[in-house]
Amino acid sequence: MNCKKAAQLIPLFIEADLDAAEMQYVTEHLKDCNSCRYIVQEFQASQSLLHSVTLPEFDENTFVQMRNSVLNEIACPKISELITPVWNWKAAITAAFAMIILTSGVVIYWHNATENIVVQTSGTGDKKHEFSAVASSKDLVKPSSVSSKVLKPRRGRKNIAQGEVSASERNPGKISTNHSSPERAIAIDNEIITAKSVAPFGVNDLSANIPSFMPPPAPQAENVAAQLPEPEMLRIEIQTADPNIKIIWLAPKDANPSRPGTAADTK
Amino acid sequence: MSSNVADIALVMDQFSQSSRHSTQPDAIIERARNGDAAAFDQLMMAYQQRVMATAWRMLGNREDARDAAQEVFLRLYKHLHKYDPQQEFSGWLYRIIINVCRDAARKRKNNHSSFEAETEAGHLSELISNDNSEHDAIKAEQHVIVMRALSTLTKKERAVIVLRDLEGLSTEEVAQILGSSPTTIRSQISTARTKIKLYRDRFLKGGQRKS
Repeated sequence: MNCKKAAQLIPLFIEADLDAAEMQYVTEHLKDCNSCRYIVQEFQASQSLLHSVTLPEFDENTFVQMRNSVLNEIACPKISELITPVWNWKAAITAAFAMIILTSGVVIYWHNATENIVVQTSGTGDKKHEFSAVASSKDLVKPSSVSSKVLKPRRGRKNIAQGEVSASERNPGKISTNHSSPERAIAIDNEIITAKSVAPFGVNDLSANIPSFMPPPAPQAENVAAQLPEPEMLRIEIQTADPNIKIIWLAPKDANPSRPGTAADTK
Repeated sequence: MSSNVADIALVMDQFSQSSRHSTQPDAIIERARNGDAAAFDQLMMAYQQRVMATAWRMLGNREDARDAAQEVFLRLYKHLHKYDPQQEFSGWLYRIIINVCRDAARKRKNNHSSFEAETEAGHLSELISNDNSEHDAIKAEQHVIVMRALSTLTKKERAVIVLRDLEGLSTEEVAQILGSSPTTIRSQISTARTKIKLYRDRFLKGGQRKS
């Protein structure tokens, strides 16, 4: 055993904290090594110094006071301890992080969900009527040129738009106002009504769905509709005042006259 | 009343017989676990010296040691129902003491300042009596060296040294109390003893230069 190895073991050797084999090795080494013996003596002096420290005297009065304090606190625990539950900091931090991540996820999802809304309806009754409109959420929440109401964004707007789909499926060709959120329905309809004011047909029928507080459609729209030719499939694209909203109307030439809002109906 | 005195005497006797490996005062502990305040008071009387001494060695300050001892007994009462009679009570109590002292040191943040506060408060001057001034002066100086040397240790190293060298527990017992392996404890013991020796060497060399 060399001195380097012995020097590592000496701090433990002085209090016999080594196993038997290492104790034997160090003992053998010390027989022949004066420098290591000196180190051992220094460590022993240091340990003697450590053991030389005497405890301060604690008088009985100190102990009595301490015990009384403990017993009093046991008998009458502090109100704060009763109110405040035992707090596990690790669990609290973990829960806080989880809450932050969850909240962030909800906010991001909500933001993405309301960024673009596609509203599309298609007639399934006789598969001859189709109505589609694409609008951004910002457009939907903008106050309409017709309505003076300023609508705030709401959660679940996409669902509302889907509600529009199902409502239109039930009544193809009609712009439904039967929504779970009346305000949203009005907002969508307002945009449509704004576009419809220049539409070539269906104004009278569609106007039946216009809320009462809105102004009637422009009268010149009927004149324009009367001058239109009758193609095999009538396709009308209406660009609203807002460039983000475009309404496409497809109607067959032989549409059911009884169904409102069709080319036949506008004749 | 007489039975209480007898119980305390029994506990103290068991405690003083071997301090480390005594038969545990199971009866009193069991009564204290069942909410007997008198039994718990007896338990405190039996262990108050050891708790206070260990806390003082860990914290180096009389006031802090008293507060820590109070907190130790409060925690002991609070968690006594978790105590497993199969394990040694003193080891379980040491674990509470070390945890409380670590918390106290963390709040205080600086062990050295505590020792300075003790010095300023004049507690060290009690070691120097007028009768034997030279001997007591040496004793006080040794005390200062040791306390300052201990303040150079980390919390873990200090706990290890207090339990192993000052409380006299075995390496395995210290490892069990601190929840570490004996190898880790030996490593910490070696480091701590080396630091204490180095501090002593520096102190002595500084004293020689001054003289």
